Order: sequence, then C-alpha cells, then structure tokens
Amino acid sequence: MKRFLKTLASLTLICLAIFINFSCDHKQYAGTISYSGNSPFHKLILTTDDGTQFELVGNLTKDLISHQYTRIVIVGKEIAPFKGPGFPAQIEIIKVISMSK
Amino acid sequence: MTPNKKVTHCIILILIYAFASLSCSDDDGDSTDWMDVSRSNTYSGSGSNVFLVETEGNVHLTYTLDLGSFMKNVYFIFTNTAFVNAPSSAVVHNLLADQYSHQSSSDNLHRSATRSSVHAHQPVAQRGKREITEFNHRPILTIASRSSKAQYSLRPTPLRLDYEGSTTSFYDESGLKIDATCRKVISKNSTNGIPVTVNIWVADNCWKTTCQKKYCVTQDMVNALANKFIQEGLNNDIYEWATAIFGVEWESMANQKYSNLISDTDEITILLFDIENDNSPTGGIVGFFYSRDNFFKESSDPILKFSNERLMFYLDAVMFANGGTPWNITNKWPSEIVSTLAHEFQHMIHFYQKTVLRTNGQPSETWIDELCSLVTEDILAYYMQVDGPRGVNYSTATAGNPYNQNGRLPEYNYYNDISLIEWYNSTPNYAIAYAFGAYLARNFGGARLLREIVQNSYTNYRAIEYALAQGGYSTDFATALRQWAAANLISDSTTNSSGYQYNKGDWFTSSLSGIEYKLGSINLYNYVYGLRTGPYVYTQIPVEPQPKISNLYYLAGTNKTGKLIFKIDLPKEIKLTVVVK
Repeated sequence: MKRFLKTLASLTLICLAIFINFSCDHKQYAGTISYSGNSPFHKLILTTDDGTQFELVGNLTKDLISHQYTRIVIVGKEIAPFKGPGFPAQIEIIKVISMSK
Repeated sequence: MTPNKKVTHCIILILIYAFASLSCSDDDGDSTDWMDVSRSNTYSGSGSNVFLVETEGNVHLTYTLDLGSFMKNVYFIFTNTAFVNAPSSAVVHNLLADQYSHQSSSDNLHRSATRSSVHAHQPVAQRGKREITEFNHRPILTIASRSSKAQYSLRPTPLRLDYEGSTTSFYDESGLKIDATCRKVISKNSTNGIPVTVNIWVADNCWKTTCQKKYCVTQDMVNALANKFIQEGLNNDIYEWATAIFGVEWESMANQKYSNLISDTDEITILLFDIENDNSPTGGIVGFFYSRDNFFKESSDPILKFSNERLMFYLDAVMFANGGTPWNITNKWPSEIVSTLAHEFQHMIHFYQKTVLRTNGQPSETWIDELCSLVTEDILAYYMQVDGPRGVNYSTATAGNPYNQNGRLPEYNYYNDISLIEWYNSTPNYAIAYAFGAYLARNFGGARLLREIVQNSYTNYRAIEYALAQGGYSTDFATALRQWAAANLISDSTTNSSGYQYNKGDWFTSSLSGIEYKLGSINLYNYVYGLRTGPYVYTQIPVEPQPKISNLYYLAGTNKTGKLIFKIDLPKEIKLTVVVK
C-alpha cells in the first residue's frame, strides 16, 4: 500500500510537471505571417485572426521566411510584451505545427 | 442495452456523421474543378491594345484574338492576384500551331534559377541593412516586467543642448557608442508656421581633423547637406516638400497616445557616421531611420535602452564625403545621400502618421513603407536636383535616352516577375516596389495618392485600395496589378490612355499644398541590365508555380495576323491580360 501511494504520488508529480511546463507559458497561435516595418528594422509579424500582431523570433523563424503570407499554426512563448508603436509583443517559436501552402 | 436503445444510439451516430459530412466544407473553399470557357477580343486597328480577360475559378480557356489584316506581336501577362503561390503556372497551347508553350522541367532556362537567386542577391548601395536573419536572430533577453505608464508621462523629452561644437555620444543601430560633434544647427519657420530645427552631427572619426576614413566630412559638406534638408524661405527644401505630401513628422499627440514616446519636439537630428564601420565610399548601407529613437530610454529593455531619444536618422559619412575633387554635392555619392535624406524622412513621417496615429501601433508591411520612400525620392528628384530611382536626369521630363543603366529600373526589368509583396531585403525587392509605386503615382494622382496611402489605417494592400478610392478611382488592387503590367509592355509609347501610362513624353504633374510636383516619364525599354534591354519577357513559361502577387510576361506570338486561337489552362489564382502591339 505504501509503495502504491508513493508510486501514485510520483506519477502525479510528474504529470503535474509536464502539464505546467507545456501549458503555463506555451500557447498555440494561428495567423498569417508577413514582414512589416521599414528596412532594416523590419520584423516577421504574425497577425492572428482577431487582428492582433506578434513579432516572431527565435531560430525557427528562418524556416518561415519563404512562407510569407502563409497561414501558420505555431506553439510559442511570449517573451516580451507590446512596447509601443512598431514594437509588438514578441513570441519565441517553440514549434511550427502547420503551414498552409 | 435494450434493442430500442441500440437502435436509438445508431440513429444518433448516423445523424452526427451525416451532419459532420455535410457541414465540412472544402479546405478554404478550394475547388479542383476546371471549367471550359471561351473569350475573344478583336484588335481595334490602331496602336497598342490591352485586353483584361475576365475569368473565375480554374479554367480551360479557349481564347480567340482576331488581328484582322494587321501584323502584330501578341503578349500574354499572367497575374497572380492571390496572396498564395499558384499551385501551377499557366499553360498555353497555340491550337493553330498545335504546339505546347509550357516548358518541360528538363529544359531549364536561366530564369528558373533567377527566382531563387533573389534571396541571395548582393546589394551595392542600399537603404537599410541586408541581413534579415541577423536582425531576427539577435539574442532575446528576458525583460523585466514593464513599469507603469505613469513613470513615462512625468518625463519630458530631454532639453536639447545642441549647438555647433557641442559633443555627445550616440548609440548606433546595434548599441555601440558613436562619439560625435554637432557641426550645424539651422532653424526656420515652415510654411504652416511650425518651427523646425535641424542638428547635423558628425562622428568624430569621420571629421576632417580627426578622420580615420578614406573620405572625411568637412564643414562645407555639412552646410551643403543642411541646405538640402532645410533652408530659409518657403517650400524650398526636402523638409517642406515631404511634409506637404505626407504630413508632419511628430506632434504632441504621439506622447498623448503612447506615454513612452518622446514628447513633442521641433528638432530633427541627422547623424553622419560610418555605417557598419565598413569604411566603404562606394556601397553598403547609405542610411536608415530607426523608430527606437522615438521612444524614451528604458534600461531594462534590450532595444529601448539604446534609444537616443530624438527624432533622427543616420547617413553614411564616408559615402557622403566621396564627392570628387573638389567635392561637389551633385556628384554621384553625395547625390545618393541627398536622395536617402528624402527616403529616410518618409520613413520617419510614415511611422508617426500611420503607425502612431492611425493603426494602433501596427506598422505597414515593409513593401508598402519602402514603396512610399522610393517614390518620395522620385517625386522630389526634380526639386532636390538629384536623378533619383528613375535613373534619368532630374530636369528631363521625357524618358531619357536608351542604354540607360542607372537607377532602379534596369534591375526591375530583369526581376519583373518576382512577388511584389514578399520581402527578402534584396535590391530586386526595392526595385519592384519602386516600379509599382512609380506607376501608381503617374496614373492615380501623384502627391495626393501618396498622402492617402500613408494617412489611412491600413497596413497592407488595402492602404493602396483605400487611397485609390479616395482619389475617385474605382480600380482595385488586382486590377492595378494587371494594368501596371500592361503599362510595362507599352511604355515605349507616349500615347497610352490613363491607367496604362509610364510615359507621356513629358512631366506627370500633381499639386498639393501649393506645391507642384513633377514626375518624369519612363520608358522601360530604355534600360539595360547586363546584355538585356527592356522588360523581361518569357518565350517559354517556367514550370515553377507563379509567386503570389506577381506578373509574368510571355510572348505569345510574333508578327501574327488573322484569327489566333489559344487554349490556356489558368489556375484560379491567375488572370490573363493580353497586349497587342
């Protein structure tokens, strides 16, 4: 019984850790990507269906450069809030789930 | 479970399945069905004719063109009006000759490689940096939680102590310190009574007495630059010509809307320094505007901690100083800098008039912002007395001479089939943005159109549609793309109708705020890129899918006469325009 309870407690903790890790600050975002802003400070922008804009950053952005104006679904983590005009909230891409052709 | 319950459950499951099947529409409404349609046109008998062939959906088009007894060349323009790449290119069959005009994948003309080479193109003189990836892959620091807005609203913009001879350090675009000295302060009251002051600073390592560069800036050069941007009198400098079109560059409204933006100021700073520290007098980055400087400094933010808290832009000192012996502002590189002044000033105004005032902080798509800046160089070329992106002498109203290798248009001709809206920060992107903007300005109202593009709440192609509508034009974006493409092919004529004009043998004039602006004519056949003259026209259609928002030019027939019948497979994204000349 004691062993069973210990195992159950461990499993619960593990599940909780996984849940927290993947649900707290990782979110799914869907929208269309494009470059905005004057060069050389143009930013890769995700515009969601409700019109909110995020700047996409991180290593995975290089895979998206050739997919401008494509609808994508990503998992990302917000790493910086909206600063002001021309500086939208920043999302670091964790994973690209899908890209329309 | 009783039999009745089983049956009930089955019925429910069947109903659910049926509902799901019926309610699931095709992905994005796409249909793979192809329809057979017919269209026909008859050549009018004089000059060039343009036919916008209207189709919907995927079509097997039978197109009949009756040239009568006239001998003409026939061009097809395929316009992808969609914001997706077409799944396939158009296929043209000339039924009379019973030959395919679709290139096989094994027959690889150089143009197939060219589409991908846009990404790797090396610019020579460019407004803005060339490496997108460098910018996007900068290390991201975790930012401390934002302070309340009240902190910013108590901070006035630092009092300017700029006077000639004062010294300070600026942050460059990457946060490095640039020691500089103020070499010129000049003020005036602009036409609308608003005072404006321009402070020109020069990096100490670019100044004649302490210079470590190939070419060094002198006081005469600074004075000449100042004179271009602002000078005594009315409507006689870049500041007034640009603000008369686009509006003012800053007001108290900025800080009222966003408390972390600097307060109202009537001072503009120009910093001359060796951009990228490349010591290059003949290429590289000519100048830039960075909206970071419009914000109050914030020590916890990786970008804003380097704000210079000024309205400012940056120009390359080494290129500017490379102006011959004796130095003259009309020489090639100083002229590039003067043109860049206008270019970057548009970005500054664009940021305020659109991003701050009208779009809740959302910036324009890059191709639109750059289009506006490039056409600013074009429309002010006459007054600035620099040749600008047209590449023809600023005082020449006509399209100039053949074998022209200057300006943006030679490269545009070669890359005329790339996407207008996808941005890879290569010179072909600038070239096509300029070419489209130059067409719009010459056909849809010039200065007023530019103002309407900037002063609306749209950040994408709708900014252009809105501006066209405000000018009383019913042309939508897709139609503008098609008409523009046709204007390319008939730009060697000066008698084309409105909406198809690049060239009328004279100025295209427009007036705004009491200033008459002049745009010179353009004949794309005057421009040479390598060994090629004029617009690039395919004789075989590439096999790759056509990029989004792009035009492809195809020679369908040379010296043809009589009735021609073509069978053309057009994916729904692609529209056909026929040009007979």
